[in-house]
Amino acid sequence: MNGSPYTGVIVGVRADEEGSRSKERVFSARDEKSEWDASTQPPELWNQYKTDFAPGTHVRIHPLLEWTELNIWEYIERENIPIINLYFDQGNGKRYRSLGCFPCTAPVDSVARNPKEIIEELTSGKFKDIAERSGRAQDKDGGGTLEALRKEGYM
Amino acid sequence: MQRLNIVITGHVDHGKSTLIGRLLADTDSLPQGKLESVKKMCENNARPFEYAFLLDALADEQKQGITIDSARVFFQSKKREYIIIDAPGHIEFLKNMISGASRAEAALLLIDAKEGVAENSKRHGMLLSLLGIKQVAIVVNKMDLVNFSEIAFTKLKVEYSEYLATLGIKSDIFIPISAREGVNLIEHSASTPWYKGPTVLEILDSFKSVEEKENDDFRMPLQDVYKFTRDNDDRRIYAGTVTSGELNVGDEVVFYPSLKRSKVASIESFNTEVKTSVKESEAVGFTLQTQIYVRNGDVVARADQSAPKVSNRFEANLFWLGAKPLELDKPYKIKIGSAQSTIYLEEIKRVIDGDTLDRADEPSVGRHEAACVIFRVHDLLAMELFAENQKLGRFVIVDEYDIAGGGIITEVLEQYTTRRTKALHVNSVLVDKASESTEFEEELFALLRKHFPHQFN
Ligand SMILES: Nc1nc2c(ncn2[C@@H]2O[C@H](COP(=O)(O)OP(=O)(O)O)[C@@H](O)[C@H]2O)c(=O)[nH]1
Ligand SMILES: [Mg+2]
Repeated sequence: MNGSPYTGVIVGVRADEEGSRSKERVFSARDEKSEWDASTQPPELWNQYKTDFAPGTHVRIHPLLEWTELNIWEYIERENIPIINLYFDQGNGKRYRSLGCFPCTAPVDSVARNPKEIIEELTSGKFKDIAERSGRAQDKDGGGTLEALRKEGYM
Repeated sequence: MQRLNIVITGHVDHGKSTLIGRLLADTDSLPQGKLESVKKMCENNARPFEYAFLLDALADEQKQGITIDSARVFFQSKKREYIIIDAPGHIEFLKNMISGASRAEAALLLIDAKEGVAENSKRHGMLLSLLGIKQVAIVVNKMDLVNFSEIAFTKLKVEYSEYLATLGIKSDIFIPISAREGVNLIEHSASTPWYKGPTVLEILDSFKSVEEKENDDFRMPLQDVYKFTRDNDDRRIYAGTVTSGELNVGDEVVFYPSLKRSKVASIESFNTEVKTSVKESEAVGFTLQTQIYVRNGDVVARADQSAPKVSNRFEANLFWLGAKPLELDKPYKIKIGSAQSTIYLEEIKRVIDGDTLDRADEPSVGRHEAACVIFRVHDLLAMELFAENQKLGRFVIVDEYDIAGGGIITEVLEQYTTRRTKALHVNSVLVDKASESTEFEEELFALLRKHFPHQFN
């Protein structure tokens, strides 16, 4: 995001996705160097967020931080939101549960073909206890990789 | 499924992360393979397995062995879903602990049976009371280190109860456990045959969700007024999130502190069926039968129900997290509901710290201290006592760019009218003039729109 004219970006990360994301704030400020330091973040109390920023600050806003994977699918189902079909069974009994770049994302075994079936899978079915991002390579390697990426300014 | 936010507090190393890790493992709430992979990681690095590693996901933390921020974990009992906030016990991270605790509806406070009551056992107890968290259970951990002795447990219980009494907290829930060994977490253990009270999971399931509380009177902090200009549409939509109660089309509403009033003409919502009524926690917009000019931050109430209080002075319990101390007569920003104003610290009644509890005659409130104080506000604000309305009875203070403190209103005081505030009053008159001129502009604009509609499409 460096060098762009924007001073903020709204991102859909959620606390339930992965360890370092569970430590994010709803309004997360990055300094000029785009760095993120979990230990010096100002507090967010109740529903009062950090909304004052020094000039030059870049802000990440995470309105869905408290949502869960299930909440997302329930919302997609309720509001009839169109989504890319890679999230559904590709005809070979495989679908993507989480999407990143080509080499680092792997599909999961699933025959869910629509949001309703995905909700079923998440609430009582096979994915009840399996992490959403288990198909993502960068979360492995001792767990520190995604945190390192966030420090360097990735989302 | 119902959800409850709980926070686990207590002194560093007293076993908070272990307790949560063990609860996750014993209730099958961990993602498949997580326990095994963390165990394997420990084996590979030739270090003993700790349940805490399940939570302390940040690589930095595992090196230092302490929790840096309030991690949130999800966990499920037969009764409901929990969001557990694992609060760091280390003093430097107090502000994160408070961020965590401020979202909580209930708390567990851990005390190490062997080490006994420590500085943060007291400080966290006090902060929980300041944050208004009433549902607190004290968990006496590491009972294995004192041979599960009932005498040791009772001694600690008496000591800490006495401390809690000085804070005005009455908690008779004390649970002897061993987090690491899983004693009295889910089921009663043979190690403590003398203990007949609830287990940790039983006590969690017994806590009440804030949402379960009965309805209060209608309140909605006004977030914004939306105006439309296309096609002669002159609707003004008053928007916000309902913090309590219910509002119906036809109800008379009053805006505070301006005291302007009108009747609800319609309830507007996007992409839904026509609504005639809205209730707590819904984000809504409504139109009024007459066009009135009010400010963002005003609190909307129903004319047939109780009114919020209006003043520019109040007494509060406050905790301070800012790098610079909170000083008398210096301008800060207050954010309460959706209102903002300039605020001045008028008096420090007493400063409370974890140990001594009461220090009078302090010139400022330092970092990590709590205090009972009086504030005066530049503008009149609608406010409520925290005990009567949590959402409109709490506030944050912004110093420069960051939230530097938070507090709860314990008393609304008489308005400031002595000569010392004359200057303040002149200022707020100026502010009123400024807002009148925008009202004038808006009226002029409405008039122009009415007579020259083609100019506005
Ligand atoms: N003997 C014993 N040790 C425990 C128990 N619970 C936690 N510990 C140990 O106490 C240390 C600190 O625990 P941790 O959960 O990190 O504490 P925190 O700082 O409060 O989160 C770790 O080495 C744990 O293994 C217990 O019930 N018995
Ligand atoms: Mg810990």
